[in-house]
Amino acid sequence: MEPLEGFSAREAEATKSKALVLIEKTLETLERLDHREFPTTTSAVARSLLMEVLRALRDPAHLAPVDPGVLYNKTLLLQDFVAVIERSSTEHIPWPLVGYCDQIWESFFGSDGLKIFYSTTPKHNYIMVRFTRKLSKLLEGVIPRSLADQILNRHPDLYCLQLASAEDQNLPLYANIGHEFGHALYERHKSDLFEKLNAHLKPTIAAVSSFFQSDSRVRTPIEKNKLLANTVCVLESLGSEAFCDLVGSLLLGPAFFLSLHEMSWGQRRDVFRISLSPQMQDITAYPSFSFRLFCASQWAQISRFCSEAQREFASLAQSIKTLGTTIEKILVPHDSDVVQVASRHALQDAGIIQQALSQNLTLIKNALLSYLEDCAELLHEWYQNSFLPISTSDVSSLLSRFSNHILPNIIPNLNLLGRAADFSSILNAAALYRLNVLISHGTDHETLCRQMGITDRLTTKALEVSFIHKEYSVWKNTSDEHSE
Amino acid sequence: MIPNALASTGPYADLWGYLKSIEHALARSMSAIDLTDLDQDRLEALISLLEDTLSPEDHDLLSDQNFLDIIDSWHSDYSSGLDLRSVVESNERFKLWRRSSKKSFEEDIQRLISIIRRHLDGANKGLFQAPPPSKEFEVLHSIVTSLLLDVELTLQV
Repeated sequence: MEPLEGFSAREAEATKSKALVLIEKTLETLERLDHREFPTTTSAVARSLLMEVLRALRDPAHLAPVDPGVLYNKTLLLQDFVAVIERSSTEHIPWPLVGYCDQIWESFFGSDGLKIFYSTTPKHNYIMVRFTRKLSKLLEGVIPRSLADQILNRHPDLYCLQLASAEDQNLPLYANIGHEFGHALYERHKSDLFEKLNAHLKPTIAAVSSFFQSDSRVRTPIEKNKLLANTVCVLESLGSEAFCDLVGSLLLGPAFFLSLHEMSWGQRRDVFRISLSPQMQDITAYPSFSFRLFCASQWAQISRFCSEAQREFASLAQSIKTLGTTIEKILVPHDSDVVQVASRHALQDAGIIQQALSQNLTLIKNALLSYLEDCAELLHEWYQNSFLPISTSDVSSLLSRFSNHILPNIIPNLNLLGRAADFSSILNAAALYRLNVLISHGTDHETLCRQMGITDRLTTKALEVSFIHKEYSVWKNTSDEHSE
Repeated sequence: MIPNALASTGPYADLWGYLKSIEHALARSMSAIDLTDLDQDRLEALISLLEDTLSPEDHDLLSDQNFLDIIDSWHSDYSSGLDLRSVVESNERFKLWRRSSKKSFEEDIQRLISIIRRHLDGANKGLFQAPPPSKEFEVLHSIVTSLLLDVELTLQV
């Protein structure tokens, strides 16, 4: 046995060995996963990428120059990636939802380009992760950049959509997915969108810069540049979140508006929340919920929906009839919004940026509003068939079925079978009906749970059946064309 | 809880790994080992960090007409997360090293950057790798070690 006195010299070796053991265990975990449980084949691509990375990490040729502590830390960080793949299972993710999401994804990116796989997150949230890019960042410092690029480029560029596992039965909240798809669209069209954002934010950036110039706490040009660069990243992040809300609103209409509202329950809605980070690309900045809901209501056409609902919902039960017209009242004013900037490493910088942004908040909001006008125009130009208005009449038909506990998968028409309801109509009807259940049963928990259970099962089943129905219709049309 | 940087996650853990790998590459360089691709990557990263944070260039970012340029030049590095200047200025080894220097702070930083560059050039030419100037590499190692300590303290918060 090694004497303890001599151990300090062997500490590096022991740390490296710990890392190697963890790498082996991680490889075994990944190998054991049953690919038949993956919601789509792209999860298997993510697994194979991760395994290739792990094999590169344990390669003796690459191990020699690595700092053992960094290697161990990175191997621990890789566990998060493994967990994402482990949670990518049909047990937690309904396959019709994945089917619909894949259709939306393909309508944006085609079938050969970027790939997406689905997983869950224990966080009460929906997250779109650039899986490949995140992995690439993790490899910095343990594998030479050129080798990392070689490995990553052998696989398609992967995104991972993580669904809130705490809400995996709550399908209407899936409308937040629209926002998450927005992140992938934003990355794809970044240069065009930057150009627009740049044009609208120029006066804001000039105003912020002159604020820094006159602030006595900012002593050197380098400090000023650093503050300005941080602020620009904050503004860009605000712009990207606003853009993603726009995509969610255009894709899923009132269902997105309602799910965004639900995400804000129990919180202050008047705060622009910003968190600085040691690396600028990790800065997070979110507009206030009140401002986001205001924008979403415009782009989800809430006013149009409510005024049509007055007519279309007239024959529905009293509680649902009024719901259609009262969602407009969810809106809260955003004129008293404030800005909060947090930082663990740069408290003074955070304070200065907070003051600069607070002073120019109206300017920022106006810039974002005009930017969204431009973005909406571009989106309609790029994806003509992806953003169709929600049909209030379809939603009304489905609500009627919901309230009678009939599967909300069919829109009646002259044909005896009716036509399959689409994804967004089902989600919209489910969102409204679910809200009605939540506010109608007070503390009668038994009835509440029973009604919620029924709503969730009806929604899941309707998505499943309508998906099959649509697939069947496509197949039928094609086979009819061939037989003619 | 027992603080353990090796088991940390999040953006500060990324920063820790970034600095620790640079510190390791500096230590390896001082041991007169032939530089591997990874060592060269890390020394390049150190050059970027010093240039981005301490370079004498003081052009006003506002003169960049497109703020995409601003983001491009700052987005992926850690310079905004480190108070590098004050760490360098208060570093005892750095103070000792430039005691007799008549040059400005920025020029001395440029001198350190040139020394790393020369060492990297030697490695790229595939010649017999001469050991780097030990004094300067010790100064750099000491600076990175101080930064690491700051980050480890932040990780505990």
